Amino acid sequence: MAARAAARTVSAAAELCPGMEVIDVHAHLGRWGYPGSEGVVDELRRLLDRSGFSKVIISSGMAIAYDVPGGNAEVARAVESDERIYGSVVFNARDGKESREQVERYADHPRFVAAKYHPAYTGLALNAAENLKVIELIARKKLPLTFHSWTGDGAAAAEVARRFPKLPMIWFHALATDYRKAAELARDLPNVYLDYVTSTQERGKVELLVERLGADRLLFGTDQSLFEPIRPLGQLIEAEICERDRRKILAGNARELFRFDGR
Amino acid sequence: MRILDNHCLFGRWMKDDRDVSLKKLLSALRSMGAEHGVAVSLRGVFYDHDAGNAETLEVCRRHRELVPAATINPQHYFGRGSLPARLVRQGFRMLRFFPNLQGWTPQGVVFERVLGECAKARLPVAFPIGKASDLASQLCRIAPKGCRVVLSDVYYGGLAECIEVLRRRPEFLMEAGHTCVPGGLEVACREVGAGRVVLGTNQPLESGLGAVEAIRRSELSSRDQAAVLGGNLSRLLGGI
Repeated sequence: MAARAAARTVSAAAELCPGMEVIDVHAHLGRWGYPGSEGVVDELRRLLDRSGFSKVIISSGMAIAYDVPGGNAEVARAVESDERIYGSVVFNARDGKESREQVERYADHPRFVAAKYHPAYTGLALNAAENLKVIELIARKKLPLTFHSWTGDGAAAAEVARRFPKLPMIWFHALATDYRKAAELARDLPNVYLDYVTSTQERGKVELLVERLGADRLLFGTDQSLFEPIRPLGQLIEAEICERDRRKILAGNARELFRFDGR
Repeated sequence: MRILDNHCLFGRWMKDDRDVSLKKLLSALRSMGAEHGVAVSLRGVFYDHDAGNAETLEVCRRHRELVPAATINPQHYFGRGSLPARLVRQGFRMLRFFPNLQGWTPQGVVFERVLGECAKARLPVAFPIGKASDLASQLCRIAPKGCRVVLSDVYYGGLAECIEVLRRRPEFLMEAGHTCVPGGLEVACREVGAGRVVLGTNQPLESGLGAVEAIRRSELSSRDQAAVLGGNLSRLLGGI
């Protein structure tokens, strides 16, 4: 391979959406095992330089896949290393005591701004009794709950949203290919927000979600270090929506939801 | 840098409300700054490949930014002549398959025959890998020597398998266009060379701007970026 391209001085955000802030609410630290990313904090910093995102909320891939306390501790170190990086505490209610301890430990940390759950790794639906006990604590601590939501997770996610109406929930991936259903469910659940990222950048998806749910409840997330982060940005830039809505999705809603203005 | 997209469709999308009209394709290509798109009519995918191929040729004559790609449904292929040879004479530059939309797998002998005919006719073939990485391995074993196969729709989960297939089959290429982990493109180019990767973004079904920008902002050299964005595909298609 020939020498690397000269480093671009202008970030993707500055070039593609000049004057707009971009906050990535859905990102990870850690490797997923596929060719490319190492998932380390230095790489995340380089990706932030390249993308120009002002803030990123990360959860630990290791905590999701294998070691909850070890992964959350890695995130705690990462958030101290760069002012753009914020954390999300991962829980796995298969070990309820440990999960509650983890939430207690990080909920008051000034740079942990959310909790994260991934049912595909635990095998427990979001509305499982074990999870509800932890979610109750998360609601008490006033941490928004982020959740990997895939096709088939809609009923469980909606039940939790109804049970905890004051708990902001972000359905990452918006039920994947069932995003129309996600918009339909979320319309009647004012505490639910969606992020639209999946591995396929479907044209027209953002427009449909804005039309059916409204831009106020959409958030920008990339799923980096699993996914290359500039692709979902391109998807939003290409979406045929007004600039006001684009600004809300890129950063405005996240600023309000995660109270970044007060931090 | 010239941007040439190997993966474009037009027609009607019967599965949901997405707009895949010719007008949408042309505007999508403009929106991502692409100079040319290699396009297939969906009539040939969902209904009849002969009728679809005729439509593709006719549309590409009217719109010079589109390069004609044919399609063949192996389930409807039972004549004794070589359709790929005829397609090359008609001006097609690529043959794209749609097994996932048509309900077949690459294990059939008809498909094997078509690959053989494509190799003889020097017609490159694009085949979707999707998230099932073992499809690339199947193609590696089935395609006769000299058959130029573009592994299309490659996602992060199939990248390791595709890289290994490209190592074994020097005449194969792969598309960059779908989501891979950060650094995935750089790994692929380091392992098999930037000359083996072409842009393919599934226009207008998917947004293409992010795919192009991800390549432009990758750690590849400017020369390699130009090769991936357009140079390699131009060469594969015989110069456009």
